[in-house]
Amino acid sequence: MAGQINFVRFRSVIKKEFRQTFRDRSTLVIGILLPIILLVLFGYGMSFDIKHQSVLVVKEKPSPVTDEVFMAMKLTPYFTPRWSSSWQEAQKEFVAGKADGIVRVEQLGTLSNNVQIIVNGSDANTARLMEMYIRGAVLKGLSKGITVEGFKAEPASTGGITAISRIWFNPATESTYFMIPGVIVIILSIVGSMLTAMVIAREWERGTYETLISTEVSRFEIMISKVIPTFCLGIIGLTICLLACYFVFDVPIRGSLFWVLASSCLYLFISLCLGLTVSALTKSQFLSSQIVLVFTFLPTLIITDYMFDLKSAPLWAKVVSVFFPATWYVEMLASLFLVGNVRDLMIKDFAAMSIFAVILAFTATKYIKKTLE
Amino acid sequence: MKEFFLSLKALIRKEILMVLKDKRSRIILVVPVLLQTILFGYVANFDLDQVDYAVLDEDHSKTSIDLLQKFRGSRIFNLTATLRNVKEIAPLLENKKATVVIHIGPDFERKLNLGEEAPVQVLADGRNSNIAGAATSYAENIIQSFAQELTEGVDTDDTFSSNAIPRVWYNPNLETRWSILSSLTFLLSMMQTLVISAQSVAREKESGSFDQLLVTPLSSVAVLLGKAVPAVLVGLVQSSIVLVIALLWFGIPFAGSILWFYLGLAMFDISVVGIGLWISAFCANMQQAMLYCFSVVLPMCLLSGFVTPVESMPLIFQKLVLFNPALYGIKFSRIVFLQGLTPAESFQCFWPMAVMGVVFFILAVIFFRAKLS
Repeated sequence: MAGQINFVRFRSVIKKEFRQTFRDRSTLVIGILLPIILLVLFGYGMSFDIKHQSVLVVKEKPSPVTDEVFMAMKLTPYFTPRWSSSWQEAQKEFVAGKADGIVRVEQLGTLSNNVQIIVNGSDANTARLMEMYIRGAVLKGLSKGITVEGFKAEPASTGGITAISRIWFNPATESTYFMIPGVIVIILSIVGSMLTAMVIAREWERGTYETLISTEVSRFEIMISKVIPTFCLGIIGLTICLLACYFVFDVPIRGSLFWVLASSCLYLFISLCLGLTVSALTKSQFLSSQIVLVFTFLPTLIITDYMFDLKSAPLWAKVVSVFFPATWYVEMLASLFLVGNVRDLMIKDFAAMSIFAVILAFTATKYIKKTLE
Repeated sequence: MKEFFLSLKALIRKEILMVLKDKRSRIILVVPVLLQTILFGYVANFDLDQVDYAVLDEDHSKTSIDLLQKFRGSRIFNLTATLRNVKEIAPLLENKKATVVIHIGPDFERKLNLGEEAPVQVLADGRNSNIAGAATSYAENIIQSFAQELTEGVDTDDTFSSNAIPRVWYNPNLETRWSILSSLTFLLSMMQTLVISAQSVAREKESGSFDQLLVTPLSSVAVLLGKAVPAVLVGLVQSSIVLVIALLWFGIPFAGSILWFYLGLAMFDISVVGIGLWISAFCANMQQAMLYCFSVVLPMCLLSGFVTPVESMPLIFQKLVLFNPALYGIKFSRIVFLQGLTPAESFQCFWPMAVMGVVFFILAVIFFRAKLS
């Protein structure tokens, strides 16, 4: 049965699926509006760096060093420093959530200082960045404060070891450089599996599946005809993203566009088959929508190497991530965008994705039964 | 009035049965939350515990070997390759064989002895700019402290000392897991609760039983309340699962009052369910409900302060997110769970959720009535 395509018959099934998909305006919401929303959010709305964090600088008695620290913090984009008259007062405000950090410089002697820094660890990532930047600002302020007082600054270090860091592939560490390729992954995961998750379950629930299987259409034809309209919708989303990369966000595509498209189509096909399998297995729109919701968005965000570093995760978590197709696609896409055609990585990722595609296409066809149990 | 409650009770019973009668729905509402909490608890980690690095030492002097010894002795850095020439760097970084390459030039020690600047290059893979930034700053720290050790031996003119003492409140070891899991108590339940509430109306609309519900003596307020209660209950159960895992499995201390925390959770779930019901007023079928839910839940999740700090968003976004219940939910969970603020102190995050819950519910009722007439 599978594999046989009668083209006349096939054309009319495809036509039916296209009509069914595009008749409902909500598909356009997910095909066009959602990519745009996500691009705007990731491209403009979200920034991992900190900005405008309110920090209290404790000034118990007039001190030029503290003034310099205050000024140094004010000059960075990271902080909005405010004065606080006492250590207790500052802590009270901090506990009440009115400030994100406290700095207090205690002058022990003319040249020796104790700097106390308190940050709020309930948002660990922000706390870490704040601590780092506050230290930097304090050091800058301190070395200045000392010259102001007329003392010799830190022995000027001519010579000595200096560390020079270069971040390759993204020297200015633009966050859009890795956010935007990520948006493509999220969109293809969602568009692909979400619509297909509903299609077969819907026919089951409405009872039209019986009509469908009573025709001569083969399983393979059912599968392909369900996949193609959504595939087109996914391609629309992909096109929007690529255009935005090029015209709006100036994200480079250093690898070949051909491989970007090829890997994206392959991944889209994987998502589609995944959605179909879920749909055919559950036969319930409610269940399949819950499953797809749970297994697409957050895992794509968290389990792949996209936002967090998988190297720091325990071994079993790395093993789990291997079974998410998104893991491979993220790696391939990020390299294609920022590095270029890295042959070994591309072969590995593309091969892994192909395996997923074959297995899922097979299971989808298998579970699309032509019987009614 | 008594009659109202009696019929409401019957309705709620029917709704709960509809959600939970299927064993598979019970599973899909519990198991994924369980798995995700554990998985994310381990993976969602900005703490860089392991950095793969490679070394290119063209100097082979005592100093350069001593410096590299520091890297070898560090807990974080993990040597994956020793290079022989500059040409090997690019393929290594491109193929992700190392995150960082430490490059010491040929006359490193000679320059140092002459009192010139002796650079050490730190090259990082910038595909994920967060990881690259953290990894280079670790490497710089090691190099700088080595440089300090060297000069301390020579330089007796040590006049300047400053001691920075950073303290992280509410999360002493600055573990990302603490902030992630406390946020997940709110965030994980949000997605499925929203979908349940929107789908439950859409399902009846699709199968035509919604009209039957409307011809019962129940008012539209009662019908919607009947839909809201099971969804809120599911949300509370899911949050409890996350909470129990966070407390018992990961051993995160709960600082505030559990009762108050649950009140906040309930308010949050009510506001989410209100949005879900509101969405369902526009939907004719389950597919639409699903797609609209997703278009709403993604921005809610991404702009909640969960992934990136709210203060870093552009001003327009900061204004927009004031209407996002997830923003208050996450803040509430952090200040009550981790910081242990009292109800009076955390009320500023509580009342917006309550107001939104009521407003969205009223909006839903109004829209339903408008559609009916």
